[in-house]
Amino acid sequence: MRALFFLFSMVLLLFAGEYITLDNGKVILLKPDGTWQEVKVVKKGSETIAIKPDGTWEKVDARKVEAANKLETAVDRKYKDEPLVKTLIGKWRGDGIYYEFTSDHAFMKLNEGHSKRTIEGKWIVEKVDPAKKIVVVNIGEGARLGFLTFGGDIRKFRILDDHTIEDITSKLDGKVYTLTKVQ
Amino acid sequence: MKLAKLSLAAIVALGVSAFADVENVKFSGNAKLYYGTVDAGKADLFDKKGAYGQAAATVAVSADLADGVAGKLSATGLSTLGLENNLVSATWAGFAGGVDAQWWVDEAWLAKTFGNTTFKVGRQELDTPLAFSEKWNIAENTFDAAVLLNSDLPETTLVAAWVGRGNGSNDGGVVAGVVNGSDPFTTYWKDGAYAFGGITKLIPMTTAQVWYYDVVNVAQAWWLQADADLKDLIPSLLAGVQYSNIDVEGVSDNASAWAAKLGYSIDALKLCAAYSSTDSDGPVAIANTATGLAVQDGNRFSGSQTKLYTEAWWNYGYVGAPDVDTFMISAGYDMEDIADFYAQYTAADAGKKSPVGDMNEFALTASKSFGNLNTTLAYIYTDADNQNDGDSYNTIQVYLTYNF
Repeated sequence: MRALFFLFSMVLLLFAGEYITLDNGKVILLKPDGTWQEVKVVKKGSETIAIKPDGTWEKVDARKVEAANKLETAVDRKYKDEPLVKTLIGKWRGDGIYYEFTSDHAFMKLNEGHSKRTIEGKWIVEKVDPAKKIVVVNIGEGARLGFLTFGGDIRKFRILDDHTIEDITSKLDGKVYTLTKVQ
Repeated sequence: MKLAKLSLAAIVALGVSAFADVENVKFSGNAKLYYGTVDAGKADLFDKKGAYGQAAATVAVSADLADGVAGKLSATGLSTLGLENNLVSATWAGFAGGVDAQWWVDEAWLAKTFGNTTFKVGRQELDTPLAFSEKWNIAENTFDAAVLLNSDLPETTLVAAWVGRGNGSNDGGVVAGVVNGSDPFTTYWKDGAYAFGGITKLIPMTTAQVWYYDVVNVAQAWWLQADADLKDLIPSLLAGVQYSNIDVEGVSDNASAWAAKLGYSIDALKLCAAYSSTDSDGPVAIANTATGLAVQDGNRFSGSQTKLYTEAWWNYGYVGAPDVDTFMISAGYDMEDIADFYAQYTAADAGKKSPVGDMNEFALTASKSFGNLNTTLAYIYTDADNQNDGDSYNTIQVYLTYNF
């Protein structure tokens, strides 16, 4: 029961305590050598504990949020340096759908019945699957609280080649859009 | 009490622990206000008696969980906002609910992916040629269904679906109204339906799809379609053909239709011309089975939308009806920083056996976004034998949607 209580306390503190959370919801550990690693950070008493993917943990000094924000840029840059993600940069048009991606801004326009749906703003890469050539991006979200996001839209793309992508966001509804790059 | 507290703590801990594997939870939604006015009958444009309006709001939460599990929960509400007191005399959707505020859960599903196979179960949208969610109205119909998608074959997606219930309405209002908290979802026709489809890009430059439907104890249907991107022959040229057949149980004649289109798309300009023809002896329309199909309203079909290339912009129920030949041309142009413009002319020529009359429609729309507010202004000219005593009339519509 004490273990359960400890787990409960740790999990609650994960959401309320002092830890480094990036805009994209990831929690990272800043290392002294300047590198970083994604971890789960929890608070135990006055100490901050980082749980690494391999299951080991260690005490760390939680840096200021400003540092995390700088790193967010680095993480974003890392994602956006992925060849698959870089392919997205530009203008794309399909049947009833249009996208514009620059390094820090995205615009989507989608025909929905007799009206159009547009979303624009900053975009964040949520996930890259190089094996399946799938990129998941979050466009124009209004706010984020950990893994909770408000507003905007998450779109999933399959990169076919430099000039052709598929928007597979609504694939589960039976809808896949093929888009070609606007020259 | 102690046990109760511990149990609560355990439940919360387990719940929060489960959330620790959540990759993303998104809250989103939209608010809509739609208005339309006609100068038909004794009404002039913007008269209350010739106007219809309604507001809608949708709130949704969707989540990507660990291990390939995703889910969504969404609810939609309709309200007239009291417009019926001064400005309008009809609504857009949910007619059975009248002017009362109404709401329902329109999506509630979970999906799990195993390799190249995804299983999705629950209340959801569908987009198949003969059973789909119609999105032109202020609210869209959805289905209680289970869908299996597989993409093991290269460039091919196989679909198997079971549809148990739906809230599609056959009165032209797309969704069944909620009356005194009633459940608007009812059994899909008599005993539900099955659908099997295959979509492949194995044929060069072509997307081909084949669908088979078994609306249990009602009808069996086929839908075949091929859309080719002929850019290697002529840059920006698109072509497509469709064929559909519906065999209604207990009726000797089948309903069938074919259609063809040519399209030209370059940058922001999109042109299309299409022609379709339906069999003269068909007992039902080639249209969405989810919103009516064969139900007649007076001397016209209910107004189910069809996926035939020639479908009108506004006047549904003609193109897919039996014994109708239709010609359609359209042009769309997205004028950057100004607006997106679209024009469509549809001419449906009804034969002697058709339950509908001739119908000619011209629609012109302009769409513009202001941040998260999307606006569309539409003008429609309608000249139909079975509307407004055969006299032509004009329609103006305003669509306002705010996404959040």
